[in-house]
Amino acid sequence: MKTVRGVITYSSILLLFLFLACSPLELIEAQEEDAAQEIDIRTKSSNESDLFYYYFGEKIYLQERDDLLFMRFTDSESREHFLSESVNGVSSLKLYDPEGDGRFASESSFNLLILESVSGIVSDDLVREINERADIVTASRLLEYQGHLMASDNDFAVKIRQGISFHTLETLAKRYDCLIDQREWSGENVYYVIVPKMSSLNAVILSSLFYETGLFEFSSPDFFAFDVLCSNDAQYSNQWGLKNTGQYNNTSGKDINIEPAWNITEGSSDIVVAVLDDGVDLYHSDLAANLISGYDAIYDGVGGDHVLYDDGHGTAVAGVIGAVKDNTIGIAGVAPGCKLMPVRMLDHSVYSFNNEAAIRGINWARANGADVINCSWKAPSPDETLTSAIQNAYSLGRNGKGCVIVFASGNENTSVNYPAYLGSVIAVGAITYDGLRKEPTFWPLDYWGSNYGSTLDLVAPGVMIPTTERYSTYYTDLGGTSLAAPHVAGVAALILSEYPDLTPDQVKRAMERSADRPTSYTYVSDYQYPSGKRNDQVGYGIVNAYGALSVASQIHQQNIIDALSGFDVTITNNTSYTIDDISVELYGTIGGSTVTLFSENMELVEGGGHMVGYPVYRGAELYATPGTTISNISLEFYASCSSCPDNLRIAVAIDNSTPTNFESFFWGDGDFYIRSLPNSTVPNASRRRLYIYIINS
Amino acid sequence: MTARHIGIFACLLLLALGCKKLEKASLYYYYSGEKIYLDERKDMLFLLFEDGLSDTQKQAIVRSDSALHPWRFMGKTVDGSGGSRYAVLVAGTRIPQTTVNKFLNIGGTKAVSYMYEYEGTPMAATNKFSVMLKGTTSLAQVEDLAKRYGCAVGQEEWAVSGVYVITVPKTVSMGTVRLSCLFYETGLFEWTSPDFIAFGNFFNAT
Repeated sequence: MKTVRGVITYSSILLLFLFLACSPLELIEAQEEDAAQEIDIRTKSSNESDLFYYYFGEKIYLQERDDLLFMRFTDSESREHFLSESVNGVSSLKLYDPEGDGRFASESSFNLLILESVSGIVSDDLVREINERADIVTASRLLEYQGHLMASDNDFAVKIRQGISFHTLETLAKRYDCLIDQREWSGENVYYVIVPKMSSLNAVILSSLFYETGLFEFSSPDFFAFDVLCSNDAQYSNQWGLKNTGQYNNTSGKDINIEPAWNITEGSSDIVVAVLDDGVDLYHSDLAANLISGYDAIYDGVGGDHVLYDDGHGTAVAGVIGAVKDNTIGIAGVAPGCKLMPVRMLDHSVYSFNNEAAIRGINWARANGADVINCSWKAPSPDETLTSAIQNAYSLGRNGKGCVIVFASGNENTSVNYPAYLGSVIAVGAITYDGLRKEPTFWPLDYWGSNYGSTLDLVAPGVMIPTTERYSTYYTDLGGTSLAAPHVAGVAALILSEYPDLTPDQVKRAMERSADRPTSYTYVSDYQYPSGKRNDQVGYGIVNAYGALSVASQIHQQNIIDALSGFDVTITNNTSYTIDDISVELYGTIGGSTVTLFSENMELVEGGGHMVGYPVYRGAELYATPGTTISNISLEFYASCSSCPDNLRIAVAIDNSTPTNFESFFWGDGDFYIRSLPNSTVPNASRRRLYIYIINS
Repeated sequence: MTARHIGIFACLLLLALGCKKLEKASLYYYYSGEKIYLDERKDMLFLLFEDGLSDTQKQAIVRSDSALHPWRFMGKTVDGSGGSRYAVLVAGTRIPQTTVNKFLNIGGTKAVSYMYEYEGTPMAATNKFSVMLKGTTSLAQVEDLAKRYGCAVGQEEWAVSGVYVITVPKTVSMGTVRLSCLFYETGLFEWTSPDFIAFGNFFNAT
């Protein structure tokens, strides 16, 4: 009996264990079951053109073009063969050439082709037949979004939520016969799910289904866009630093990821980037519209123009930051919507550097509204006044928020130069189009190498950079950390365009945390580097404009929350009377709306007391950024005191330990006191303090 | 070794020492409390011109001594032309102090000194250095100290807040760099910082 009971007991325990152990899988299975249900629903609705993908939790609807077929070939030869044999022969398909320029048939880096149905309808059978070809990676009907033609590749990217294992993704992918791939530039916990071409569910549908499982932070189809040019600037296609398509027969993708960033912002004209250099060509056709008044720190006068024949460096740097975009000429700057402030402080007349001129330039930029200061130069020796000027710009610029200061790390293939190594600036090194630190032995085979080391923060494209040259001309292949730094300065300007409340350290942190880490290096964590893993060769990695804006958004939200994270209310009863049933409510107006800033019942301990509370606004939709004024502040103070005389007095103050303006207070059961307080400006501090004093007359 | 050999060796040694143009590491300035050593180039003379001189006037000063000629650096002649505030003169050998004194006595210059070198970069000090007062130091103390050396104290537009600029007349024999160190060593200042002009390519583009 004992044995049987023991067996039953142990079996129960085992079954219980198995049940518990299997629960997570069951959960996955349950979620997958739900997903399967969704599949059935989606299949039904697909006939109603209910095709969409998710973007920040919102559905982005796409239309299918029944008349256009998109094809991606395995190689260029197959594509060419198909073009010459199939399309030009008897075929139900013809080349899609709406503008008669043949560009959809011209050579494609990704071996793409768009064909148009002669009959006007691309049938399911035709799509299936094309996908059965061995030389086809994927084929589908073309898509349209807001009038722009797109096509989905055979994959989509997912980012696993924290706490979800890779195994879960594997299990889910396997269910739909998908493979998983991780790509160098894709970021931490981001994977590509590759959809088999004969799958009944295309990549767009599957990406939505995956998102709806709740297992992923995002799920994003990989699209090709055709008639949407991110820039119509003539040399944009050569700007590998902005969009690396493999222009030099290299691995594509190693760029600053600017195009999705431009979907958020191309820069605000309220944001000014100072170019501290040898001047800028003020009349350059690709710069003039973005330039504001500058300064000549050498001659201490209005200007900023390049003066001497050799003064071309500043014009090149300025172009990377803010060349006019979509004017069909030249290049596109990283932050083309921002303004450029030319400050000439380097003298090419005798190739010299004067501390006084540099300091004058920095101070002028700071005092005249520069938000970002780009310095693609080094100082010859460490200098207290120069360090002090930089520090002042970092802490006092932008009306106290601080300027973001970007320095080139240097080209000597050694440790980071001064002043780039200062903690108050961002030191930027240069990478090649393969995403590697530029070394002397790397192509282009010239003599220089990007400085590196423990003080290097970020890297950015710095070889074969097309940019503006004086007299409305262009460089096609400039190199150096001088050209890397302005990429970062431009991204900093984009961040401030969206989130001007961010401090220089926060801008720096946003870029560091979101940087792309080339897999050729090993990254380590260190308590000295709070923004994550880094490597001395590339710092935190390649600046990622879109990623930086995403992280900046999170920091911005935290700034708002920190600005009004709570009110500490202190009530001090300096009388000999017992006051109880206290409640305090504080109201204010922020951005035109009345907000409850504080509402709590409070207790006094003997001899006085306080209680910490939180503002009710957290449940509301209203936020206030630092610098916002809270007006119409009114206090409602409820208390009862059965034995209090009528002549007690009360005073209140916000963020002031010394109360003023004591007023008489009349007591009775449930008496209350209402007081208006002066307007207050939301500080960067995380909490506000309200003091209420009650005293005898 | 015979006495003759010793004598020849001694002569050669003296000759080498006499030709020594580069004086190693006897000069420094302070940065973050640390000494930054400079090598003095006694074969190169730096001239900082007074404001408002014409190119002709500057050329006249530059040509004051036929043993010296303007320095040619990176394809440019550093002779004060083209609006430049300074010139550098070179000799094939050590420039004697008498020559330096001659240029000091010529009107039209604010500073005359040997050049320096920092990690291979040619530099020169102008006639100014900045000082940052400690919280316990009064302006009167600074003025008193400056007065002892015939210097003027001012606050210039380009100087950051709380920083004063000491202008050193060219008659102060110890020069701007040494005087800035002397000031720092009084303990009255958070830092002192000579104003340098350095020569080279400080851009990071290729």
